[in-house]
Amino acid sequence: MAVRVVIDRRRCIGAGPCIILAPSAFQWRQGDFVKPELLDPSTVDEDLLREVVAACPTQAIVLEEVLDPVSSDI
Amino acid sequence: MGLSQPDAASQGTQTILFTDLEGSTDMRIRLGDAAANQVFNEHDQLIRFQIDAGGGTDIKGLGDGFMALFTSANNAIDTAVSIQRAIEERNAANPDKPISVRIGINSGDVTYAKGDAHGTAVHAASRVAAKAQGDQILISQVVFDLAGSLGPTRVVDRGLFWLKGFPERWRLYEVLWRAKDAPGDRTARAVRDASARAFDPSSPRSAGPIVGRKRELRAIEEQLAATTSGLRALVLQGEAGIGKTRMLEAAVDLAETAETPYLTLDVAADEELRGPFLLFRSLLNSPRVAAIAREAMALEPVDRARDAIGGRSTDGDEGLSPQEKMLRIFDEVASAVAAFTRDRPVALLFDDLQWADEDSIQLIRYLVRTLSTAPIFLLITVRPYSETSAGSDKLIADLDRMRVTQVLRLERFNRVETGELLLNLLGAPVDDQTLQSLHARSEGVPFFIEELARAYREADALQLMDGTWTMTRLSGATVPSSVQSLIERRLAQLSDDPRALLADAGVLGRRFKLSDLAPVLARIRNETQRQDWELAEELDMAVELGLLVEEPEGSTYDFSFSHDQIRASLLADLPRRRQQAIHGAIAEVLGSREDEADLSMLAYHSMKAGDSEKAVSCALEAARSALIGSAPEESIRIVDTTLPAASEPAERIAMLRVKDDALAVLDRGMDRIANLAEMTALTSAVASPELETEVKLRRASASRATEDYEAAVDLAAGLRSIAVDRGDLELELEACLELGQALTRSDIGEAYWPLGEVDLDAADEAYSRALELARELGSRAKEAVALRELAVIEGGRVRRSIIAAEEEGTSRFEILAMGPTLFTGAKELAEQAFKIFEELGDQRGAMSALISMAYSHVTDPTAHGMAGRIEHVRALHNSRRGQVTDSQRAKEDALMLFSIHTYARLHIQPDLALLRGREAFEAARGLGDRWLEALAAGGMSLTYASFGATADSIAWLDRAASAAMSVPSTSMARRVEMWRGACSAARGESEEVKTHFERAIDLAGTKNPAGQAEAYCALAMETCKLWASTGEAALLERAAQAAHDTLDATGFMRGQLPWESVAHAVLAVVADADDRREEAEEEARIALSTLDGLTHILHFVNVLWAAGRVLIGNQAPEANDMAQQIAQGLGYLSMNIIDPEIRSKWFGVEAHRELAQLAGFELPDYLGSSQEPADLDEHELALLREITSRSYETKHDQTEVTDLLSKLGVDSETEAIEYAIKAGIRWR
Repeated sequence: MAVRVVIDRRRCIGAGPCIILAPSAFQWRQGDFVKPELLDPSTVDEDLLREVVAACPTQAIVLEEVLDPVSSDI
Repeated sequence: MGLSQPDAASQGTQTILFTDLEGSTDMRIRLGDAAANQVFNEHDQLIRFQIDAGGGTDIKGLGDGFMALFTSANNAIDTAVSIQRAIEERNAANPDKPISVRIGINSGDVTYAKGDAHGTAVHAASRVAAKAQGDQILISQVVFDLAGSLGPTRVVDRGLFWLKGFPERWRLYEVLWRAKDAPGDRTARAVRDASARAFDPSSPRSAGPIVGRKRELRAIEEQLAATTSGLRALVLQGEAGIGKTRMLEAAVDLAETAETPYLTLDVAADEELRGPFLLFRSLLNSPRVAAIAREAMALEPVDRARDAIGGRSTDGDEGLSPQEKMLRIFDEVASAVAAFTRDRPVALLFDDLQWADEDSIQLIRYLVRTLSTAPIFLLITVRPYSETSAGSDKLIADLDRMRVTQVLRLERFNRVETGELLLNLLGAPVDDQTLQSLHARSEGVPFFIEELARAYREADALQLMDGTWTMTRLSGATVPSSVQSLIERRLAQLSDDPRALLADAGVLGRRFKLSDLAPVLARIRNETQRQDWELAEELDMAVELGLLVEEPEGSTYDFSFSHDQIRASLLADLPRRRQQAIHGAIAEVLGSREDEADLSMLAYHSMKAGDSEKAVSCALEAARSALIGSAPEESIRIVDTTLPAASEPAERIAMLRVKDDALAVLDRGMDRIANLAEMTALTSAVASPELETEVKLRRASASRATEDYEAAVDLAAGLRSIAVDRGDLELELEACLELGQALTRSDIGEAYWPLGEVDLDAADEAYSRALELARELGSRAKEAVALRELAVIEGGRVRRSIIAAEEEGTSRFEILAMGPTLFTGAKELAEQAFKIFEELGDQRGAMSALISMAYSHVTDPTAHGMAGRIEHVRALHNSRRGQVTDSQRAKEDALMLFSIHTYARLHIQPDLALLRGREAFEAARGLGDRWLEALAAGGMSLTYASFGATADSIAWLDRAASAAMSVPSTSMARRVEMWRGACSAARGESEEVKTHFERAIDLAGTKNPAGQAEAYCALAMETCKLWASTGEAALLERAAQAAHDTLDATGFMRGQLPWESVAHAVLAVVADADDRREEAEEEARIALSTLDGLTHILHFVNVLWAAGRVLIGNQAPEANDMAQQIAQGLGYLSMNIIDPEIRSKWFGVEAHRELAQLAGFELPDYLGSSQEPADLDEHELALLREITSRSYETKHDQTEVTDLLSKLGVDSETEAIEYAIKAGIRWR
């Protein structure tokens, strides 16, 4: 199993702890409202992603357990 | 020649140049002594002439090379270039007898005595030369620095290298001496040369730096150093192609260049050749051993050992039993090895031990036992799984029992390391997409990476574009034959039946279940279904050979192919008709189960079996359910895979629709536009007005996603007119919602307040009409959506009026006092939306309504900042949550407290961070959530450390560590080390800082490059600050090294990484301390320009401190502006720290104090003095806080307010707010 990171921008208020805690996994998204987008979550360990989830004040980041992408590589 | 000798027994700083003639022994053998001597003489004359001409002092000839000293680094480099060019010319004239010289240059203090030069710098120079390849010039960092601007000479950074005898890695640069053409071409050519050399089979692989194996290199060095007290061993395990042999070569290199050089004896077992004592036969019969034996005066014991192994009888041998003969062999070999160790330590290195014969392994075990006290370093490389590894397992167990070994497993590379290896191989970086592709294809196996890069280079599929290698043909590149043959060799060890079984299994996928394979085989082979265990048994050998990997227990699958190329090789040999039949059988098996999870597999296998209809219907269903399960990428993948099978327009439209929905979730506007183009074309084919409007709506939304708002407004407004003409209310509602989003330039639910250029009236009109229509049509969900957006628009109007009032001179405190009434309208709308969302159970909608409410509450957005808003969201969330259980509520509250703590800590609001951190810690304890408890305690420790409260920091560190013990993981261990490192830094303990951060680096390992970068960065900055306060030179060096390591670690990561800025800031301080002012200022500027100060404020303070020291300290041109900006920033920061005691402690930390001094900043008086309202009771304090924040809606008694105002000695609520802010009671 691996995890997939989903950012719910309706819940997001752009506080940015995700970008501060994991700057190689998240970055600011282009556009009018300062909200993050995914960059490269594979550069950090899963536990840090869990910390990012916990540190998001509006719980706008969700980790979903998914099958390893390799498994769907038919 | 007129070469002068320097004065005897003197000392001075010099640049030392070493040359080394490559392959001199081979040349002697090839050309014969006479001809070789002539070439050597030519070589000597040529180099002496160039050294003399370059102003160098020839100290000594070294047989195959020279050492020369220069007073100028530039002269040394110029001379090296002249030497290489002269050799190039000479070789052109003598193509049959080419020579090739490697050159290394270093600078430093040199002592002359007895006509020779000594010193660490001289040692290092010879090590640098040893790292060079033929025709190459390598220079150390210090030479690079001393040389300054090198004029037309180009130099490239070749990365970090271990130099034997030096504890830290050295950064080496290559001088590109072949530069003759235009500068651009020169670089490109040099890079191409370097990459050609890297792939030249005759060039030794060990010449390049080793990527990603720091831990292993350190283990080798540790074990080498420990043999003084007896035998030490290292076992390196890893799959084929992982780089075991490369590590063995590195070990040979390290052993031979050790302080006391080792005699190295290395031998590789062969996969195909087996025989009694074969490993030792090949070792003892090698010419190298003969030479070593001569050197070690051990010819006799070696001969005896050779005879014994070769079965040549000696006196007294005849009557011995086979067992006794065996023992005799053991003894003779042990004596020979013991003889080698008389003068020097010995390194015995056995590669690929899984293929060694049992006798040889027994012999190694014997040697280990009998020579346990001898200075021997034993290195074994072995594959972790193998049918023939039983003997090696016993050997490893022996070593383990003797406690003399370390067993390390070489892991596959992560993407960062793949990038680093490619850089070394190709001499220039590869672009992101190429890296992604090569990493995915190689799966991080170094051998595959090298071979793929080589194959692509040879096929010209990699092109050097503007200094970056780019893959020109991303598809269609073939598997390199070397990779193919490696795989074929492994497959060849399987007998026919398991191989056929494996090939059939490969059709199922990279991973497969036995419960799928068994019925498929039964169908395809017309046999009774076999039991899972029977199949597992048959696959056993494939597992032993490392072709298959057993999935851990509890996984969905039972087995996976260890590399996808293995499966590809098997499938390549499987006839297409058979594959099709297997796909058909799989589809039948899956279809009979009606398992939803397997729908995408069913679609895929149906398509491969040629059943398009079934493929399309399954794919559609699978893609839809993937989208519902929020797996949009999976949904797109399913559509893309199956779309070729869909031939009917209706089928294609249905699939493209799902794909558009998925692309919309992923926000991929440009892809949507492309996808919708086909939908538009199909629309005309089916002539459906409904479809036409649907596609237009989708195009409007896609236009917004590409920020083409004008097009979006046009499309939405056009649709609205069509809807009105047709009297289609539902379409009008959709069009109005789309129009509203196009006008506010924001998706539903995502905006906080409309921005400057938004036409609020037009947006208001669109959403108001949407609200009307939603109510008329009874759509509660859309009603809520419209209400929420109208709330945001109303909030935006009020904000605009406040900004206008402020511009006209109304004070901030007056505006704060006006607060509640202004936002009533917005809050009411949001409240209505919230209620409907709650009724509908739409949590996301409810949260978006809450957020819009929170934003309406904040009258002055700058007064409280984001922390204030988060607190509002929390308060609203607590007061309005509907049907949740107590435990859910507690859990959510703990998380929210932790999030506020984190936010405050990361934004330097330590007082708020402590308050909420403690609450979060207690809440987590209450919940029994040890993980959150550890994180909260760790955050507390960091917060205390940030203002120098070290006793509290330690106390919280203990709590954190104790909680962390209950949730042990590598990640948690790394965190604890990071916290300890920070705490040690606050205590000024430089050695502990190093220890903890280095442990964190190790724990992060290769799987977590960001964790490594973060720890390197912390080590660099904290050590740099410790240097600033102690002046210990060693700390500065350590900081510089850590800064370089940081940059190495981040080199291949994307994004705006604060660690890079911090590293440059540290390098600025280092350069400044070395009086390299220009470089220091440049580094400081890079540091400042690459850091987003608003996001990474914690790092920003450090970077400002370092850059400020350099730029303000040296009165650089921007010094005044910078001081002003820092002072302003510190002013803002001081306002944010409400607690006066914590504030003054924070400003008392050495680096912060220095920063304030540099900027000429002083804490404002009113902030410095505590205006503690000690005489207010808790109730009054709460009331004052409510007045101040305007965030709660409690109706308070007017007399209570009046009493409070008189107690505070103020006349109005506005003055009360001013009082409260200055007294710092916002969060108490």
